[in-house]
Amino acid sequence: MKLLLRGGRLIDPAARRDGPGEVLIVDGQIAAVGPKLDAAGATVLELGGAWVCPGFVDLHSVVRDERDLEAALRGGFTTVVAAPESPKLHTDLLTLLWAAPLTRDLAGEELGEVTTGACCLSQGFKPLARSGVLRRALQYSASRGKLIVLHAEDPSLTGAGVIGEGLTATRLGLPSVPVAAEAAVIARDLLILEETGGRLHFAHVTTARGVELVRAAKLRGLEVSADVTPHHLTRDTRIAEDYSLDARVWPPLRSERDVAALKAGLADGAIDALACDHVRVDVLDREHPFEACAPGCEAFEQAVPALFSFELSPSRLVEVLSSAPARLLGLSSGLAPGLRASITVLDPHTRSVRGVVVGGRHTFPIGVSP
Amino acid sequence: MTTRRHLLGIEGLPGAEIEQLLARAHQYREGHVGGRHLVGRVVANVFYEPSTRTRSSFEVAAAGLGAHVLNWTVSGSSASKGETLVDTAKNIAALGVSIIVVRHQSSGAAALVARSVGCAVINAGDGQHEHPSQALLDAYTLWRRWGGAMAGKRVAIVGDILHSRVARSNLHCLKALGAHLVFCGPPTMLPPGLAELGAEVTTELDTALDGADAVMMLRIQRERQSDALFPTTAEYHARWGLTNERAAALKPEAVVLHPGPVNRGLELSPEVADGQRSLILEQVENGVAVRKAVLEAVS
Repeated sequence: MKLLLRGGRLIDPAARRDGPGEVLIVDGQIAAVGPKLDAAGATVLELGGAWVCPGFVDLHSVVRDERDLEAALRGGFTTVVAAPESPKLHTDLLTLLWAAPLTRDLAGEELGEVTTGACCLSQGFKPLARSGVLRRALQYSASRGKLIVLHAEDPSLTGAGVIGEGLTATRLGLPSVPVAAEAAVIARDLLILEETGGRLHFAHVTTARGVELVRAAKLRGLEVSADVTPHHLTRDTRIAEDYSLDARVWPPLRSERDVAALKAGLADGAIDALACDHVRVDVLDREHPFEACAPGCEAFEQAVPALFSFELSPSRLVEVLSSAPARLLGLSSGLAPGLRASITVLDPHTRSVRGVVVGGRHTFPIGVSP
Repeated sequence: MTTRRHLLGIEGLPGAEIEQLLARAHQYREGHVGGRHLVGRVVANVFYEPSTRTRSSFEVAAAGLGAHVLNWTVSGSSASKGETLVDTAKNIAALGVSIIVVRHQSSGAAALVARSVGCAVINAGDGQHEHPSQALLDAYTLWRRWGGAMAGKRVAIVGDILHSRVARSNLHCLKALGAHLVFCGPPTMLPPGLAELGAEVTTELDTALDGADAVMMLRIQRERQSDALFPTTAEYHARWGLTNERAAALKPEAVVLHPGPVNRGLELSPEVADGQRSLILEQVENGVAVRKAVLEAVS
């Protein structure tokens, strides 16, 4: 099978490529990239200036079944790392990787067994309250270079909280979470990292203070990275008005000021990647009062609109979705000949995903120019 | 009478509408109106939290208006049987109930019920959010005492503001009526944002009481002491309790309120609770009249 992507703007940040070009895919592999390729025998997709990007990589989502995978494809993700809370799932719709639980049953007490094939170690959405366990995990993993993905939360500061502390929480009478519940843990973990070595990644950073701590640690030369979710990038606590369940996510939403800091951090590199934290919640788990509802949101399709909602250069936008998370996981990514085809096409005018190519499959309408 | 579909909170209610409710409550209180406005209607009391006072007050008010009162008992186990709040609310509404009076431990529960059913909903306390009928009866008690002159009166609310729906509803209610609000309590019980909501905030009780025309002491939930928001009850009483000495130093005509039930010797001394300044029993009495006005307004 031959597929030619024609008339697109090729954006591959890792290769510092940004310009017009064509991509030829033969039998699921990128066969050629260039200004004008031979279309003989190929299905031609006329892209009309759409962006051709390395396939998007999601670092952190709960994938329960095929509905989630299809949502990921619609969101432009060709590679998804299933958080340790996910059931085991096999698919050839996209590249589904999994994170091994950092601690046994994510309980935060003993190191988890590292199953072969896991792309990283992750504590999922569970706090790691005991510093000693983190220290040991970092020491143990330092030799293998696997990324350790942490959820920064001090449960004794979270309490029963469901939303960031502030005026909205006070007015609505919702139990709230102070900034220190995240920031104090990031500070602690960075101090431990400084002693042990290893590669530490903070999932879903939500606070301005957290961004500052990560930025400062990078300047000190620590091997630290971080991601932000589409919802934390676009929503602040005010959205909880009328107890809207759009605000019922975990970690909790923060203030307008925090959201601005997250955007700035993503733009300047303090935050490395966008990660979805896609969590599909059953309808019945949403028929309770705000605080009793299960948290989560279907985030795969929010990723691209979230990044287009503020000032981000095209190459940075593509980088935080593709080459940055790929680099953190040690995956090959790009638009170079020889690579398995993993490509996302973005329409910058409608600010949406036009389609993806995963190996020999694609999601563009057949026989119609997309 | 303005008609409302629901009473979910005081926030956003215009002062004029609150005054209408108070005036109507006053007619009921003084026996100027006998109104059997709810004859043939069913009012359901749906209480997820134990509350003898509020439930009884609504029951007496509804019965006084001629309604049939259905007390829907929600044991702790029915939630664990998997029935959601939305489910329960729809089932109750399906019985042909006109008004659901709901008390729930979670903020926003009454709004959720209101979104789920076609009948009227009255919030009888949702988590730490609002308790509108309590604020209306507190306001009515003061309004009656002060002959309707609420503007500029200094009202101190003392205690666990963080966890108090009574405090939030009273803030919105008394502000709308033109009173000046002072919140006072241990720093661990004062959430951020109170000043932005238009209240004066202090941790010093004597500052709060200085010049106060009314003092509302909130109940300390002893069961919350596992959170350790203050070291001991003795220390709380010494710093934030309305002692005989502090009560004696109040303005001569200042009054004392408490939503009940009172922890005597903790929030306020027994002498103050039973003393000349105390309007605590009158609050209970006024509660029935206010709830009649509320039931009528949403019917």
